[in-house]
Amino acid sequence: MFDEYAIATNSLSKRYDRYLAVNEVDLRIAPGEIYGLMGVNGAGKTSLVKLLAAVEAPTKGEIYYHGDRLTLDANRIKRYLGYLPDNYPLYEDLTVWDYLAYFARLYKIPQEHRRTRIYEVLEIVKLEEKHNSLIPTLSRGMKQRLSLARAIIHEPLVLILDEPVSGLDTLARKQFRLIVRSLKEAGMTILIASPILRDLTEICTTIGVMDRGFLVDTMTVQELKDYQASQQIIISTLENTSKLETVLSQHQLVAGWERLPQKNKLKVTFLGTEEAGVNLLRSLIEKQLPITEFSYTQEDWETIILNRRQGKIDIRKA
Amino acid sequence: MKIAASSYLDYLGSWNPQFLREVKVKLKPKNLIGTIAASVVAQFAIVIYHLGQLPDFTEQHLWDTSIKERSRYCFGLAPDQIEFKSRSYVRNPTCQLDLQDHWMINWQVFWWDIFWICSVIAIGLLLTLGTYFLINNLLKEHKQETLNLVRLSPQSASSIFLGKLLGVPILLYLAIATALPLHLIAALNAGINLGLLLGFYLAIVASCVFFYSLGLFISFILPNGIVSWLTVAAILGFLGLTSVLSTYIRQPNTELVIDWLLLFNPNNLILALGKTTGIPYHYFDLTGFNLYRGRYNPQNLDPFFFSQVLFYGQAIATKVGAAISLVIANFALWTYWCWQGLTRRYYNSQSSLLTKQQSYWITFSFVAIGLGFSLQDISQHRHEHNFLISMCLLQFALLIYFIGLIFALSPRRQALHDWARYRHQMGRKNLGQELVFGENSPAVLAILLNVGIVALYLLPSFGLFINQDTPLSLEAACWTMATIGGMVIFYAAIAQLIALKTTKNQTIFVGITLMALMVGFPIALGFFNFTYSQTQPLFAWLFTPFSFVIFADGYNTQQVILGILGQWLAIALVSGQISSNLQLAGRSESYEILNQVGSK
Repeated sequence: MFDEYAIATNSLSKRYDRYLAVNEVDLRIAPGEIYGLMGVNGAGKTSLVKLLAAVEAPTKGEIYYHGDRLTLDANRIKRYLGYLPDNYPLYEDLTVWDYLAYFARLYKIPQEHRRTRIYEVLEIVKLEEKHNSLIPTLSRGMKQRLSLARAIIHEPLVLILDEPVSGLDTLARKQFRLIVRSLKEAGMTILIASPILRDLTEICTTIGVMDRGFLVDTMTVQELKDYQASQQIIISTLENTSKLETVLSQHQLVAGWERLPQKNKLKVTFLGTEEAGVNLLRSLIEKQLPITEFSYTQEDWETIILNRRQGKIDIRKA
Repeated sequence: MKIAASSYLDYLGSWNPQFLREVKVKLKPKNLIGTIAASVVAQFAIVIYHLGQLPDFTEQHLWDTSIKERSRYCFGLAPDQIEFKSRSYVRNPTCQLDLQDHWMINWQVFWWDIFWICSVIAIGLLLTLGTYFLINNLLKEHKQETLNLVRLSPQSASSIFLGKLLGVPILLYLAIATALPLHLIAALNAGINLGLLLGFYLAIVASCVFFYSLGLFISFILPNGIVSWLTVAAILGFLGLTSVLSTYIRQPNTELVIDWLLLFNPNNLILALGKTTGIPYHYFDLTGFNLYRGRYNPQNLDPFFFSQVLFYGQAIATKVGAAISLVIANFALWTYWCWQGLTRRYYNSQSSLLTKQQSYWITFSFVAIGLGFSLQDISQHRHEHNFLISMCLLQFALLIYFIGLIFALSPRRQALHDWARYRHQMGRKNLGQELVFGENSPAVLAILLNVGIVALYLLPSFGLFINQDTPLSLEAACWTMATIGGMVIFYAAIAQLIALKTTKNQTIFVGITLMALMVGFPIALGFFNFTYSQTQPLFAWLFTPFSFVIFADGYNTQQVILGILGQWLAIALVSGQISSNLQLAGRSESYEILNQVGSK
């Protein structure tokens, strides 16, 4: 039933006391996708990630990896599942090499491949020169990359990353994105949870939005980008906006609008070119609307998603 | 050489990665040298001390006959002369010279003493320090959250725990291994059979596995730093108490369940080995207390603990080999159950420690073994007073067992809430099956069934062994079972209710409440002079875990029946509360919202 998906959940729920951290989530992630799980703090991202990584047992529902159902003691599935928690725990008394060798053995990588695989992952995460260093001597970014190396040492089919770039500087974030892209090219399906949309839009193919435990929205990053590329026009009038709204609703290239807090001001999503925008302005003036402002603007990702959630826009129309 | 070592490590790591990790971290040159040096110094100190106990070899003493050398290691009086001479004289006989003017030394006792002290120290260190290291190691893993990563690997729980058991106390093992040659030499010179010695080592290994598993188990239940110290103190106290009990306090022909407890102390095997050496009994009595009591009079029966232990009337450990096997089997059984709980908690930190099915088997094992040690003498001529004390102690042991079982079986609040909320959606069995076998369902019915298992096993046994001379009638035994069983179920219901109502420190709240009910209430009764005689109101005592004391003398049947009815009324009330709490927890969010809207 769920064979076609790398990750699929069925009515997945997790309660903490009376609080539903994850609520009836039906997640579908295709193989080879980089899926971004976005939501504010407390939205249920980490709870969902912990369930997916088999760190915690769900209250209700099932999780499937390539059609195989996950249970807490399902050792077979654990072989192709990689997990990087948000605090990336490390053994401070080991060297980089010993740490990776330990996990390589835990994942039963045959002795003849182990050495090569450790070199490979060290190369992927750019830590070759640090292989003999003790873990406490590494920088935060290096520790994070070492944790990622640990998570991929057994060549998992599915990689789950919980807020992997939080607390990292710009350079480290950039390095991390490059690594994740290379992992996708190697065929991994990756799920990344983050409260910051920009971190996700730069590497993900699909974004899922969580709010109060629900998976409230799913969209491709391409849809988001297309929408952002469409024009946002701020229009103000001297009188109230009802007449303006009537005119806009009749215009074919207007995808939607939002009343701004300022009086008599609308933010219009316009699907036409700049020239078409000029025509729109002309038609408004011809209809004797007292226009006082007509300016172009661009929305950030978070606003687009918020508006979409509130039903103010339909980005697919864009 | 280096390549060989590396490939050996690789092999070791492939066999058990956890073990290799622990070894790599701990076996640093500095640690290795320090450990070996400490062990060698300790051995040196032991040997030097014992050499110092030998008579003075200087010529001055030899020529001066007025100086009487006395030493534990001199040949003095024969054992049959013991009772006619002073104790001090027996324990430190006057030394005698041989024809070549050399002191006649009893080297066998000398080496026995070294064997004894090395064994006691090694067992003490292994069980206390080893457990401490393991608990601390696991607490650290909990704190760093690294255990989660290990848990996500395809390694089995057994493999991880085995690696920890072998690897975490590796320096301790090294220190003991360094002392092994001295221990072996001492044992062989003391006249201990090599086969029995190896069996003794196996028993020590079994005891380590048991105590270490118990330590890991405790650290899963109470992941708190102070737990390691408390556990070490408890183990030390247990080893000390059970050693003293078996050597000095326990009387021959007693039939107490405490004998079972003594099997958990491998120190008790040391004297069993001593028996095979032919060294007179009084040499094992280091304090002289037993000598004072005349316990080692050779005319008396065999004073060694294992020789006296019977199981359902059968001598099961008269031979030392059998005693060693018994100790190992006992450790193996309880280690097995410990690992069942450990494995469950390893995979799911929210699960109860045992499944309900497991609890029925454990209860059966417990009551079958407990009764075996309580009915040691099944002859017609047994001492009836002992029988009564033995049964009271068995009831007490069962009570403690059931408290543990209540903790092990009662699901946590979250699990109970989830069970109540989603049970119907998850296509589970009917309610009866759920309560008897189901995961996360309330444990009260399962505890009732466990009480039933105990009653089913004990009452027919009582029927067989209670006769006219026994100061306990079968009817009284039945009442005892009914009243204590009722109280156990009441405690289970209370524990479950608290578990449903508390969000934090659930274990502590349950513990405090049960202690108040079980210990505080009887103390209060005693304080207000509600003694358990027939003339005083015994009714209140039926609501304590010590109701069995009432039935030793006469009792009023009507009052007992009323008491039992009262117990079940209390159980029904608490169960009603549990049920309504579960119904509340089981309501869906939409139902609650609709309910709130409706009330407005």
